[in-house]
Amino acid sequence: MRHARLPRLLVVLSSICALAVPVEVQVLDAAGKPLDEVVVYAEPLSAKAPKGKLSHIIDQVDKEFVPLVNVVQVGTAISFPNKDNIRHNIYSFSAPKPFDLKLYSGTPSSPVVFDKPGQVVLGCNIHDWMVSYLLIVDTPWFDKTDARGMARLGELPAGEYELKVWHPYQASAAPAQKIKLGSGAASAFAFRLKLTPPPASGNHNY
Amino acid sequence: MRIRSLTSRIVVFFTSLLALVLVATFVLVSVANLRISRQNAAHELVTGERIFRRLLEQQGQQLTQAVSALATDYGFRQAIGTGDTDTIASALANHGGRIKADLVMLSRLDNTIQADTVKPERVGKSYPFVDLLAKAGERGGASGIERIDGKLYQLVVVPVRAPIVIGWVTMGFEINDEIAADLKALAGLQVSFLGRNQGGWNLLASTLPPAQRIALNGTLSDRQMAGRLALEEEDYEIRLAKLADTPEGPIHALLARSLKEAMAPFYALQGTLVVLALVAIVVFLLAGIRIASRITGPLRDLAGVAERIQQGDYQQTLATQDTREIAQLAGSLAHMQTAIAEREAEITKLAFQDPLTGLPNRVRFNQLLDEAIARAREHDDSLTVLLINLDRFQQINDTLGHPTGDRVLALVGERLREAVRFEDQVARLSGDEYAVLLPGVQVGQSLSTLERIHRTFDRRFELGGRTLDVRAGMGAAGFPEHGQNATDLLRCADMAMYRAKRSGEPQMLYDPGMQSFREEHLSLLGDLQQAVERNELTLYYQPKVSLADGRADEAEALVRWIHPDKGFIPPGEFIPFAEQTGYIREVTRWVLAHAIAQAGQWVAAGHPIKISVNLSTRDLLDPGLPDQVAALLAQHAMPAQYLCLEITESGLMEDPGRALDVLNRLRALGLSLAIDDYGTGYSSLAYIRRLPVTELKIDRAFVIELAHNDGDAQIVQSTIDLGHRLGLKVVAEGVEDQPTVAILARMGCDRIQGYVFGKPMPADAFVRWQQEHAASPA
Repeated sequence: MRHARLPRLLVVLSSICALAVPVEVQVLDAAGKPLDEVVVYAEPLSAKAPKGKLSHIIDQVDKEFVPLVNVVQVGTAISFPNKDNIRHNIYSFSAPKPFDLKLYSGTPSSPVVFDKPGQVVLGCNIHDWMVSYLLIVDTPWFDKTDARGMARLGELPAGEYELKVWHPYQASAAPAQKIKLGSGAASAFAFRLKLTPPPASGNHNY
Repeated sequence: MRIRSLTSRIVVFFTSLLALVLVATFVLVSVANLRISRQNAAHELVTGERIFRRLLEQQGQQLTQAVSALATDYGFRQAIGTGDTDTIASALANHGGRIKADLVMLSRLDNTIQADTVKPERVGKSYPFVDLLAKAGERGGASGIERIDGKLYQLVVVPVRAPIVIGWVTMGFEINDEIAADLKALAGLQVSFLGRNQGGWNLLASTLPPAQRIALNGTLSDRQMAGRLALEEEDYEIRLAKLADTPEGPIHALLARSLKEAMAPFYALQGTLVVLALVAIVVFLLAGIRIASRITGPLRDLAGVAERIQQGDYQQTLATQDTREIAQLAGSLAHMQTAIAEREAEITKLAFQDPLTGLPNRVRFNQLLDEAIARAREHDDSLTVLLINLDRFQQINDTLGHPTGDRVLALVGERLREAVRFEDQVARLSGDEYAVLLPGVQVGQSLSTLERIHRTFDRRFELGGRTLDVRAGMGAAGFPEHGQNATDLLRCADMAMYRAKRSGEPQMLYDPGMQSFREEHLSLLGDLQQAVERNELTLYYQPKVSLADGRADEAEALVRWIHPDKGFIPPGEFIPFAEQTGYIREVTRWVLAHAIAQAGQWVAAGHPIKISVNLSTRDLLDPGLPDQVAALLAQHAMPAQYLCLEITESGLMEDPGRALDVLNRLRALGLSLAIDDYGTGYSSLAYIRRLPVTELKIDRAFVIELAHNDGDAQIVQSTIDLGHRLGLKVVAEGVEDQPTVAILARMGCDRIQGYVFGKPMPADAFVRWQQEHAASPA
C-alpha cells in the first residue's frame, strides 16, 4: 500500500489541472461484510490509459509470497526479492507471462516484465504451497480494498470508465460497472463479491 | 457250532475293540475337523476380505502417492500448464509410462476431458468419474475402481497444480489376472473381479483356472454373498464383496477359499491317523498274538498232558509255569495224574484180585488161562484146569457167621497155594469156588495134584479154638483135549466137579459124556418152578422104626422130582439151588400141603402115620408159616400130633429170635419139632434145651462109622443120654446094618431111620411095606 501511494499522488497532481475526480469503491460480500484485498480497477473507455508506475515487488517472506494478491499495469517490471534464508524457484505457467526464475537467493538481477494483460499465478517449484496471484491491467487506476473494503483509485480524469473488481477466490466475476466521471457526478461506488477460498492445498510448516 | 481257539478269540476281540475305538476316534476327529475347517474357511474369507480391501486401499494409496509425485513433476506441470493439446497428450503418455499406468486422462477444472491417452476421441467430452474427482478435490488425490470400456481399472485422480489446481490427472491401472494373482498371493484366496451387468455377471479378472471361470459364470447367483460354491468339481467357500459402483454397474470381488486347500492339512492329518491306526492295529495284533500265545501255550501243553493222562501215561513231569493260574492248573493236573494212577492201580487190583484171599479173581484167572492157552498152543503143550468147590460152605457161613466163613475161604486159599507148584496159578472164582491152573500138565497127570489138594482138606481147620472139617469137590479139564478156550475148559471142569460132588467122589476128570448132564443141571431151577406148578414133584416116605416095640408108625416125607424128560432128579441137585434162590418156600409149601393131605388120609383110613417134614432155614424165618400149617391141618382134619417138623441147627443160627418165635407158635399147634442132622453143627444141648423141640436126629455121619469108631460111639451115646435127660426123643439116621441097630438099641436110641429098614418109597409102597413090616416078626 505504501508503495501504491506514490503513483496515486502523481495521478492526483496531474489531474489537478484537468478536473480530476477522486474515485472510491467499496467491496462487500453477500452478507454485507467488507472484503479486503480485492482488486478494483477502472479501465477508460474514452481515452487511452496513460502509463503509471511500472515497477512492483513481490517478496518471499517466510516461505510465502507477500502480498498474496497483486495488481500491476501492463509493462510493469516486478522484482522478486527473496527474504528467506533458503532459495526459491519462482515460476508461472500463466499465459500472459510464463517464466521461471531458477533457484536463487536475494534479489534476482533483473526483474520480470509483464507486458500482457491477464491473470498470472505465481508459484515456487520447491514449495508447492507458495502461491501469489497477479492481475495485469491496462490502466494505471487500480487499488486493493483495505480492511474496510475500501479502495481508492485516485483522481481520475472525467470521462467514461469501466469499473471492475477481481479476486483470485471470487466464485464468479462481478459485472463491470460503466461509470461517467465529471463534475457533480458520483465518485463513490460499491461492489458485491462472493469469495470461495480454495481448500488448503498444502502445509507450509513442513 | 464253530470252535475257535482261545488265541484267535483274544486277538480278534481286542483287535476289534481297538479298531472300533480307532474308527470312532477317526470319525469324531474327521467330523470335528471338517466342521472346523469349514468354519476356518469361512472365517478366512472374512479376514481375507478385510485384507483384500486393505490391499486395494493400500495399492490405491501407493498409486495415488506415485501419481501425485508424478503430477508435481515440474516438467510435467510445465507441459500441462503451458503446452498445447499434443504436448499435453505426449506428456501424459510419457509420465503415465513412467509409473506404468495403462490409462492417463487430463481433465479441466470444468470437468471436460482435455486429454486421453487411450481414446483421444473422448477429448472435449465430460469427465465421467465425478465422484472420484470430488473426493480428490477434498483430499488432494483419490483412488477408486472403475470400469472403462469393459476393462477394470484402479483409477487414481490427483490435481495438477501450478501452483493452484489447473486440472486433474487421472491414471488408470488395469486390474487384470496378474493383479488378481498378486492379490491372491497376499490374501491367500482365489480372487475374481466381477462386473454386474443387466445380463448377469461379467468376469473381469480372476485367479481361477479357465474351466472354473466358465463354470463360475453359470453358477453364481445374485443373492449368494457367502457360502459354498462348486466349480468344476472343486468346492470353494466364497464371499462376494462389493467394491464399487461405476457408471457401467457395480463391481464385486469374489473371494474364494478352496476347500481342498483348506482341508489339505486336515487330510494330511487324516492320512497320518490312518497310518497310525494301521500301525497300532498291526502292533496290537502281533502283541496280542504273542500275549495270547503266552496264555494259551501253557494251556495247550497242559491239554497235551491231560490227553496223555487220558491215554494212560501217568509218569509225566509237568513243566513249571510262570503264571499263577496256569501253575495252579498244572499243580491240579499233576495231583490228578498221581491220584488217577493210584486209583487205577487200586481198581486194577480190585478188578483182578480177590481181596479176601489175595488170589487172582475170576477175571484175572480167565486172562491167565487165555494166556496160558495161547502159550500152550504155541508150544504145542498142554495144561489142566482144576475147579474146587467147598462142600457145605453155605452151612458154615450160616452157622458160624460170615467172618468165620471168610477165614475158612482165606485158609483154603493158603492151603491150595501150598499144595501146588510155584508156576501153577490158584484163583478164587466166586463164593466157595476156586480154580487152579496147571500149565504144562496133561489132564491125566493132574491126579497127583488133585490128590495132594484132597489131602490138604484132611487137616481140620482150626478156627478160634474150634476145629472145622471142610471138604471139597474137585473137577479137572485139560487143554487141548477138552476145550480150546478158557470158557470151554472152565465149563468142563465145572461139570466134572459137580459130577464128583453128586457122586460123592472127592474128584473127577472131565469126560465128554458129562456134557448132557451138565446142560440139564443148568435148566433145573427153571424147571423146578414148573415142577411145583405141574405137580411133577412127589413125596417118598422113609419109615422111622421104634426100637422099643418095632413099630413103624412114623415116617419122614422126602421130596422127589420126576422130571418129564430127565427122569429122577435127586434132592441134592435142586434143593440147594431152591434154598439159595428162596424158591424153597414154594417147595416147602408144596411138601407140607401134600404130606399133611397124605397123613390126613391115613388118619382117616384108621392107620395114622406120624409124618416128618423138613423145614429150611428160610421157612423158619417166615412168620406166616405157623398159620399156614394150622390151616392145612384143619383143612385135612389132621390132628397135629401126627405131624413133626424137622429143622437144622444152622437154620436156627441165622436169626435165633425170630426162628424161636416161629418154633414156639408151631409147637403151640401141638405138633412135634425135631433137630435134624444133630452133631454137624455147633449148638450145644444146653442151647437146644431152650428150644421147644421134642426130638433129636443124630446125623448119619456119626452113625455110619458107629460100629467101628469108638469116638463116634461115645458121641452118640452121650447125645442119646443127654437127649433123654432133656426129655427128648432121640432118632438115628442113615442106619444101614443090623449091628448098628443093635448098638443103637443098647444105647437107648428111640427110633431108627435107614436102609436097614427101608428106603424112601411112594405112599402106596410105604403102606404095603408097613403092612409087611407089621406082619413080620421083630
